[in-house]
Amino acid sequence: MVFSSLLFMFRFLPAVLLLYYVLPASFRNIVLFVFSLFFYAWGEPKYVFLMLGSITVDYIVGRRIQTSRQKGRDGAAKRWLAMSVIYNLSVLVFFKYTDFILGSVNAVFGTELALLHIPLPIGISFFTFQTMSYTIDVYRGVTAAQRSWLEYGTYVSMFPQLIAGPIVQYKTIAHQLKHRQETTHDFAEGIQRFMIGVGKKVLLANNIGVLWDTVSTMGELPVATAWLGAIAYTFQIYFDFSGYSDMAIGLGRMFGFRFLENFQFPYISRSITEFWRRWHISLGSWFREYVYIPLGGNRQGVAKQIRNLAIVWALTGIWHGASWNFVLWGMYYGVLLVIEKFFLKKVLDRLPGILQNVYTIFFVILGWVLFAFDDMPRVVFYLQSMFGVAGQELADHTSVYLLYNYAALLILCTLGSTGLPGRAAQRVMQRIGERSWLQVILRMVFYAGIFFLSVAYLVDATYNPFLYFRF
Amino acid sequence: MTKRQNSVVIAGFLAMIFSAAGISLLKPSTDFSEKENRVLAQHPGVTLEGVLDGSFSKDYETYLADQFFARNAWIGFKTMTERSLGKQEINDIYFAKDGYLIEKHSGAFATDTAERNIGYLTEFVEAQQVVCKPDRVKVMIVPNAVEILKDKLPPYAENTEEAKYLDRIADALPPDSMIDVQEVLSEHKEEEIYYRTDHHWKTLGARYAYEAWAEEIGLDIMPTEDYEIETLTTEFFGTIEAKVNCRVQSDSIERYRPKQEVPYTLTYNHHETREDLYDLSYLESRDKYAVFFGGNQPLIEARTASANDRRLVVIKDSYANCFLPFAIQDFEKIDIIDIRYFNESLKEYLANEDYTDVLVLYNASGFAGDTALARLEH
Repeated sequence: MVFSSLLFMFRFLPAVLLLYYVLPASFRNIVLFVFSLFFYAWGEPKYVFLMLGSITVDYIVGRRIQTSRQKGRDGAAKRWLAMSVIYNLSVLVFFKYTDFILGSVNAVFGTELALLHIPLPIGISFFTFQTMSYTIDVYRGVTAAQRSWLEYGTYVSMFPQLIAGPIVQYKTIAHQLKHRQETTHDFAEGIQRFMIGVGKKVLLANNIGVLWDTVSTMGELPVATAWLGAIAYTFQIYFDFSGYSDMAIGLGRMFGFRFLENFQFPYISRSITEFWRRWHISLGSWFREYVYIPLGGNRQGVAKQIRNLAIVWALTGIWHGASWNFVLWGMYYGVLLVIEKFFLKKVLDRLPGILQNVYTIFFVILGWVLFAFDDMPRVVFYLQSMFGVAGQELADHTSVYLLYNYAALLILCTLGSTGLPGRAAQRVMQRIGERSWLQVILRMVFYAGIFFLSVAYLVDATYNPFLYFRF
Repeated sequence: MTKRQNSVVIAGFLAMIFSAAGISLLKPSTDFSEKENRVLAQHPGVTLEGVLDGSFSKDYETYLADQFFARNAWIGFKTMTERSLGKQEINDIYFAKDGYLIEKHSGAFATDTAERNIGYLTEFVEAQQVVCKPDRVKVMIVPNAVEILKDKLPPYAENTEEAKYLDRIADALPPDSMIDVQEVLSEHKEEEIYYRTDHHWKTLGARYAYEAWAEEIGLDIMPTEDYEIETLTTEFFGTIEAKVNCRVQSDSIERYRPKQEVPYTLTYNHHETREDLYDLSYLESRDKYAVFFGGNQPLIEARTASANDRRLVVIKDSYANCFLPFAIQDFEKIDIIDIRYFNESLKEYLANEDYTDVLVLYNASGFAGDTALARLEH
């Protein structure tokens, strides 16, 4: 199930809110757990057992690691941890990468191994990373093992963040699982955050996505059209994914949870390094904490550091999808980051801020072109078109037509990628007065407007894909 | 915000989602949308199999969107927003000059079906040219508004796929078997030859094409002066309007009534006979274009009082419905076959008759997307 659907907003959400708040407080985790399983099972019922399996394995392993530790048997603790990591990675590799591996073997060795065509379990990349963060942290003694299978299951399966993140590390919400306080303040904030997310996804991402779809299927691409398409995709993926995170964070707050932020206006970054501190923050932290630092990070000399960065970025790439273009995309960022780290950053810092912005967004847009196509000839063709190297025209009638059709939306997307609208709204609210009723009415009109518009778009839903479904 | 203010925000939100949920649960299902001219999805029954293979969840979501309350108003609201953002097209429909809604048909001519259909048509025409006189076997692939009315498209909108497709058909067919409807209609592009809100051509456009065809096959036709042009309705909103759901100018439907009518009998699907090809009851419905012949019929056999030794068979889609009333005045026999719905063997049917003329009449986008054309061979 996805949040931006009539089903979620007018069936699932009312039902779960009703039961959650009407039943006695002791039922709250059960309600969340059962509804989360239903949420996951919708559309792909069989894989719910895969998730229940992961929950149970990691729950047991967590307990065992802790008892082994308490008894001073570190070797046993390590073996349990290894088992958990191997189990989780095997599940991930089997369900997500089998065909990719077989296909690559076929390509390299000329064999003809048959592909298995296993459908991808939704959100598997997210929940396997979450469960691993749990057992690793229990092993490190950062967090205590969960006593209750139900509470642990509630954490892993929790529907707001289940299928597209953010990747919530267990230790950040361990306490909230048992002792959270739902407040009217949190609930009201959660609603507003959820609406922002819905608007980003349904009104911005879906609509600018139509422009990308139009351009990406064209046979001949003048330079201007190619750039227009790439910019459209850049916006689509940001509003799609960050909208989803907003909805997740908002929904979490309606139930008293606080998840960490996942995006901080990445497109206003002034370097690639900064971009990755603002983009999909929960994934970056995960890799830093569980891969980069354990490998030695930057503490064992430049050569090792470069090796570690290479590993982390190859993994980050492949995490996004079982295809070589994602590896390439990850390595592309790895290289850019190394270059920045060792010399470019010093040069950049001396440039005017706006040039730093242009530099960053330029490479980010090129990056998304690598990300967008999983066949290499298309990537090459598209990049060639962007730079006109095969004698493409600069622009044609269609470029002009697309530009003026999407001009208003592109401006909205550009503004939405910065903190400007938020700051402007805040200033207005301050002038009106934080506690005035006018301010409440303005808010409600704004959010209800987004909501009604989004419903209108969903009722006429010819186009509502979820980009992050493949992860 | 104070606690009270937060509570008001929460109450407003809960009121929205619960009332919408309540209304959509209580609203009785509608079977058919007149506006969209299609059967709406119904509540899928819950079965264990359906739930396990995921088909239940898919069907349920379609049902929810199809049966959502005030569906048309929501869609209209969306269209209004898109228009105010400066979009010149919505759901693949151009908002063209002079109040025309014009379908883009993007991608329609690049499909495998579109290419295959050219092959089926060519073989059929070649085969018929052996039976009939070659110059009496004709094809009319009527261009859609997007091609003929291209001057009306929004500035810089380009759409050349259809013209290229028509060229490919003309190249594939035996020489001179395709009537150049494109040229005929282009000469009259400033007149009312297409509906503004519907995907069909108007009777006037059909008349021009009819005259061009008659000239090519040497047919004596009833001159235009002998017809009286009668407006059947001025309140027609067609299929394209249904897709965007916003305020547009309505269309009129005209018919050409002969001042001295040649009497005729129509036999529908071998059993039902009628004396009038117009079914005026459709003027009361949304689907007003069905006033011609009562919509698409698998088979209509027309016998008339003229004795000019011209016997015609037409393989057609709905574009022919406003075209054929002219032919009925000028032939002694016409068999009208819509192979999308015709369940008999076309070969056998044709073999039992003795035609002097053959006509294949489709609209271009309909022809490109038709999956029933393989039946031309059977």
